[in-house]
Amino acid sequence: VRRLLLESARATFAAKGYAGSSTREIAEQAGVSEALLFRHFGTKAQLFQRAILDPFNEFVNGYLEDWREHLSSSVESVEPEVPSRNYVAGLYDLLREHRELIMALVAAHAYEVGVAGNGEGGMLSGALDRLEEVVEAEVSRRGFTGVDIPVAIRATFGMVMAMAVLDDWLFPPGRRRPGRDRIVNEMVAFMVHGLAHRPPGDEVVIPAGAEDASEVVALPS
Amino acid sequence: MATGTGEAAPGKAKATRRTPEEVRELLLGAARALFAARGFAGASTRDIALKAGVSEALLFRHFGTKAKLFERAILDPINEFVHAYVEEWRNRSTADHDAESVTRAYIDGFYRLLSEHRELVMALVTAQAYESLQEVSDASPLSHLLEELESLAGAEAAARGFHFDVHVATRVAMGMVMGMALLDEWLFQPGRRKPSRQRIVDEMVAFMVHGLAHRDEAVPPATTG
Repeated sequence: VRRLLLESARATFAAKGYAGSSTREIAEQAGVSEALLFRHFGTKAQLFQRAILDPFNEFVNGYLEDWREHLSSSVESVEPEVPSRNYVAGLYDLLREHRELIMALVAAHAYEVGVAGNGEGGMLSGALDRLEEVVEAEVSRRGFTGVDIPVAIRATFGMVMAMAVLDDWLFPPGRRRPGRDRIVNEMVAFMVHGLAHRPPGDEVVIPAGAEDASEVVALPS
Repeated sequence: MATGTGEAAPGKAKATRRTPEEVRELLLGAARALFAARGFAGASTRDIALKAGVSEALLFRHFGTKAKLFERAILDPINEFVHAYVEEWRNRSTADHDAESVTRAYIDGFYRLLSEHRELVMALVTAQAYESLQEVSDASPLSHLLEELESLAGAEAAARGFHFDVHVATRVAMGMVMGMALLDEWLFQPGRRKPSRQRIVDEMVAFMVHGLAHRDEAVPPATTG
């Protein structure tokens, strides 16, 4: 029942946006009662969050598992670009698949109330935090220097997200777009070479005032 | 009504008649504020005109439609920035500057601009997705700017002997800055301290400079030390 509801929710939210989708419609399409929908998910906003966040969290968990395995094998046995490629390709495919759903979330987040509860702001942040530990281990065993890891993780995520979702902005209309592999290859090259070739001695020094209070992200009102 | 108090405001309205440029700027300013706060659908031309202190008729005379006003409010600052940037760096010999300075100028300026107009750009992204914005002439508003950036990046790459997929790399670079600026609230936990602007810019610059310059070099398999 849960799976049916989530599938129906994904299709409906993607097609009509958050405000345009009713729980009645979602329940109907899933072939269950609306009461059951609420019993499973509490509110429309929570259903929405689960519909989007579950696939993302699954991806991050699977990826972390692979990476831990990779870290337990010798560094020479794994091509340096493998972790970057798995991350970029996996994330890009996932975000492409759920492109409309992500648009719905962006729009809902910006203009509709009721979705913002439950710590949904910064909701990706927790999953991204979990990547820090493995990235740090990998960066250090390959001897890469000068990487500001929490920021680097977010910059690469932002890059993949923009390429997956903002493609209409980034590629000229009416012209043939580069294929998926070409886009993924370019992002992987950015990431691998951008991490590997920073000059030694260019250590990141995070000054005491660098995270100053004025930069605290505003809580969603 | 406007009698009596000597230098009252009503008398000055005519004396300081606003130029078309001033009216245009007032309207764009009001449009930016209201579209950012309410989105495309939520902001009415009536409210925008009211906030700008001009008539709605004048708004339409200047911009034609609400969608066109919306487009200009967002795209004018971006166009200006990219044109000025490309103009400045195209005329410099590549021998006079290193790859980092040309990259940093772009990332720093573009990130600042997008952060400043974050809500407004988000309003355009979502309006394109959900509201019939067919009147907006340009479905791919940044594409001509990307072509300019692409030609600059191509010239820099050729002069410096860098080898990368210029067409895609230009989009990836812009995408990274847009992602960091627009997804700010998603990427950083609200209520928690966020890395400074400087750290964010430095990291993007490092990715871009080293990610573009060293494509022909091997990536070390392991630490030597």
